Amino acid sequence: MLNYLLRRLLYMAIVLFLVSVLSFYIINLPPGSWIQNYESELEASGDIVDQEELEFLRVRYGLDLPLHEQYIRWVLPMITKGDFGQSFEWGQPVWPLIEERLFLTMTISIASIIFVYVVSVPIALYSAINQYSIGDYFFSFMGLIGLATPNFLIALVFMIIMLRVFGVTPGGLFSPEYLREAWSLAKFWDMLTHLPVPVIVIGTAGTAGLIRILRAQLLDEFQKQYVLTARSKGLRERFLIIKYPLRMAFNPIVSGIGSLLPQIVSGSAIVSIVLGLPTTGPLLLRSLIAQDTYAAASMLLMLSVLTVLGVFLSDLLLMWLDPRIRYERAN
Amino acid sequence: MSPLSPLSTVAELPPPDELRYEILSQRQLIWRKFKRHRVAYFCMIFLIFFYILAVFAELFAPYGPFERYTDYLYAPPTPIHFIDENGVFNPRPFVYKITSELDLNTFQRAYAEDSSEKYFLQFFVKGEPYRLLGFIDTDIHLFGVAEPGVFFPSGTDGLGRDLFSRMLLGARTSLFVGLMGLAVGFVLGLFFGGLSGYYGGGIDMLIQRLIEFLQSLPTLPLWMALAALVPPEWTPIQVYFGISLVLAIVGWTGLARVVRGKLISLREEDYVLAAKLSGLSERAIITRHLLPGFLSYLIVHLTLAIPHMILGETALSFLGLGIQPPAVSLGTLLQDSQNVQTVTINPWLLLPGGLVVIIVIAFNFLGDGLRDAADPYKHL
Amino acid sequence: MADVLLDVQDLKAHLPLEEGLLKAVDGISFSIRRGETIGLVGESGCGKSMAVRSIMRLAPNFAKLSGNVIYHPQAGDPVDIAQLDAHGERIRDIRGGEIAMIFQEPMTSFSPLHTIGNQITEAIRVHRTQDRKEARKIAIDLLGRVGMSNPSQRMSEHPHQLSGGMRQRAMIAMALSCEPSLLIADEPTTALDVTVQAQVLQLMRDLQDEFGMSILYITHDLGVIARMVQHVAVMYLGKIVEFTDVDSLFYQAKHPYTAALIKSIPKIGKKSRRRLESIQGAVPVPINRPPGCGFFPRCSVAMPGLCDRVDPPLVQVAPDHAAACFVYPEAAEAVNRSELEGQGNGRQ
Repeated sequence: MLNYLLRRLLYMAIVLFLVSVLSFYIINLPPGSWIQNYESELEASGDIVDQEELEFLRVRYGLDLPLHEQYIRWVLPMITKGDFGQSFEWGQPVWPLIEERLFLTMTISIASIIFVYVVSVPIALYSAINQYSIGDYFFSFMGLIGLATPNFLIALVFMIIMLRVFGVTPGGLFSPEYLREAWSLAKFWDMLTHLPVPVIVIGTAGTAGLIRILRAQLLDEFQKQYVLTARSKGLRERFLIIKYPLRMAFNPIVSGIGSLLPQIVSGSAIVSIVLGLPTTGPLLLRSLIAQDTYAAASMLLMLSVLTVLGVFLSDLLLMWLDPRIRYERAN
Repeated sequence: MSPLSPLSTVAELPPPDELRYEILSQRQLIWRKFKRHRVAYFCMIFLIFFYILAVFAELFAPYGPFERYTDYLYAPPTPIHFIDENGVFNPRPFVYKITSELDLNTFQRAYAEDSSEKYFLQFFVKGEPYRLLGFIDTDIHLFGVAEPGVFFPSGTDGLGRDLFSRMLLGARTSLFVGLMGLAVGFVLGLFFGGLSGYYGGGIDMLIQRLIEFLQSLPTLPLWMALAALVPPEWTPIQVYFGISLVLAIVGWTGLARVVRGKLISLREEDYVLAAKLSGLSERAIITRHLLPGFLSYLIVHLTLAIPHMILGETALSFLGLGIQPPAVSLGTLLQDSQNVQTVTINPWLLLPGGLVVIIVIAFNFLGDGLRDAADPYKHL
Repeated sequence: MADVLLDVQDLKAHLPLEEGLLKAVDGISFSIRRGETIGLVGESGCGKSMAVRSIMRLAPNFAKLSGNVIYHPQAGDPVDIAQLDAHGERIRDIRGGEIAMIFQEPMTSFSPLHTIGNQITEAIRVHRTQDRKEARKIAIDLLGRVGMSNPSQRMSEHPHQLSGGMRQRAMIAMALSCEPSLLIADEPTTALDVTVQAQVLQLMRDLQDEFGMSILYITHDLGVIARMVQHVAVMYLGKIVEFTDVDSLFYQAKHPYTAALIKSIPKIGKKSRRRLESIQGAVPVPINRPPGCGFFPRCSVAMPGLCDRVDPPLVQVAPDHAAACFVYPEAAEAVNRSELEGQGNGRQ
């Protein structure tokens, strides 16, 4: 068991190392650099281009070095000091820039996952038990639409409805008065009241997908012999469905967090851009376009850390749930 | 005891139905089962129809994609009438003249119908010249109204361009980017999945880890990073291929898994062993026994992968990282609706989004239908 | 007949499928006496499993059931199981408590996620006692009686930790945990190795002596039938075609199908260069079956014009021996009698 955990942790470390290399290189792959972008921006706005200043920035940010040295300049302080380097675009350290955004991304992602599970499990259970009922068809149809509609379109429609019906522009995670405030209980509460819209929007696709999978899984489990055994023992239908098939169906669901999490993080990125949420999504988009290497790579890396950690946790949960997997891994 | 012979009672009974036997090939069986899946069958016909529409988009579009009607900025969809102002029914549909007025308070244009002039919808109207399929020069559009009348079935955008025409052209881009990405992803998936499933061992381990690695990354940020790679000075065509490639690089993993899993499970099957024992070559085993075994799975998987590609392209283009204007795709059309205020006032700008939803749903139904039909153990 | 435990009368289970009506069970009648072992044999797909599931009211919801299944409890009035609410309280009392069932696949009959102990005590706690500790004691005791070593440790093990034979023993322990009057065994040894099979069969016989329950034994294995049962019902395409004691079955089979089945058993010690006999043709698809005897297309003594038009009823052809075949004039007489009585032939 310990052996297995150690192997998993090692594997995670390798994955994260690869992500860091990959994201760093990908961002630097396009021709040009942030300095060139900056220069052409200055030119376009008619400002005088001070070559000396540019040269100074180049040296300061290490952009004159070969790529692998730049990489080491980024990674080493990150591991040793937790220093993610400087954002060129913002002229300040990356970590304070993304810290709060990362926290909000995580909050929204976790809230969305909870939303997905809370909504889809009862619906899938209902649909599976009442297969081919009107309700089943209704939920299947809604699920299909949910799956087929791009996240950002749902966000847009939501905003239009809010604007038309309630006359308010939703968006953001905080009321204006808390926007610049330091964190407090009141601010946290304010954030919670703003969560439902983005959570519903982000969670819709995941919910639709999960209902589909869980329903099929449950229907499959209902056919299994052990359900018949349980019935032949004289158990109550309601009780035995929860105890056996639902529990069985939960296995792939829990392991499904592994694929749900990247999906949710993706969704939150684009929805945040539409809804103007202060998460990593909009900042990442800007940094990518501006080739703000350290900021973009740090965010990509941290998003991957979150996902990989989530997958790891879901794996542990799965082991706790399923004795067969426990057994397999113990040996 | 009974005076009747058993036969006497039987004589009046109708003769038994003759048993009919038919031998159907696997393909015929699948086709037969598929056709019973009405919705999926309908969706297939719809998609074929739609692809034809997209290929001949310029013919079916009443206007060119960049043709501007500066008098009609943000004009709503033009209503089609059958009954005229006197209540007389016309078998031929017509539209009224559209007048616009600038509201000086809100600085918005208000559009109204002027029932004094009407324009009948006509077939084969001469309009903007274009090159059909890239080599037929013509200026015939399938339908439209005579000048100076205007007919915008889905309204116009902020530059006064006909949204319906742009949607048809945009759909072409989106539909074929999906197919392109799929083709590349298919090759990658088949290659890596085949390698992994066929050789097993170390190669399998390596490829599996690579797939897990790619799948554990959040897709959209990865897409965003990769799409940012596409140089801005590329031509629309190059961007187009670039984006397909980006979609494929992220999208091949699912297919590789399917191929690998199928190969491994099929290799264990007794009939493969039997084929080996009877001295069949490896190649013959793969092409004659293994490939047909999961070809149907591949087709199903591909059908279900296309909507992912389309959604991916839409999302990227919407963010401005995908297809770049002036090239038109469903995603770039939706860029116009990024501003909530504008969309709220001009809701028809969301129509391209509705088209995306319909296309994706159709592909999903088609894929589901194919999956059910291809499953030999499922009786419909 | 005071000692009758279960009386099945004209039980039908029809499944409306998209391809047509599947008459999985098409009017079967038999009865089981207390302490008796009855065998139900037939090829796979003949409807044996559906028949016992219908008796337990465990057939799929969309199956159309008709007929009567009269159960005579030790105390109290007889109850017609076929008339009960399939999800009601009474049927749940009977299931597990009075009629228990064991299944073919010991691999899949237990939930892989719960311990053996959990799954056995669950049944005990539904029917016998609310007390956890007592239920546990009963379960451990039973596991010992079905021959499992170290029963208290087995309680906390999961099914995948047991061998197939052990799993089937645990299944038997679970079925017997509430001391049922009838045990329905649906091919309990088919999935086991031959040696294990013999052990499990022996165990069931011993336990029957000990508990005194009746057993309804479903199998396609005539060898098991010869070892285990007193009376046999042979099923073919949803109908019982022959019903007799086990000796008559093997030595004086009356129905052509049974006779052919017996002939197809390989005989040890009999040196012969002849091929083993098999029944020609295959079992017809039971959906939208044409009228007439189901065995007609494969029968060597079929009478065209009769057998392919009318379904022979099951009639007494010898003492304690019933068969459904027009070879016996009694069958034709029975058809004519019902014609004359104006009731028509309800089974066309």
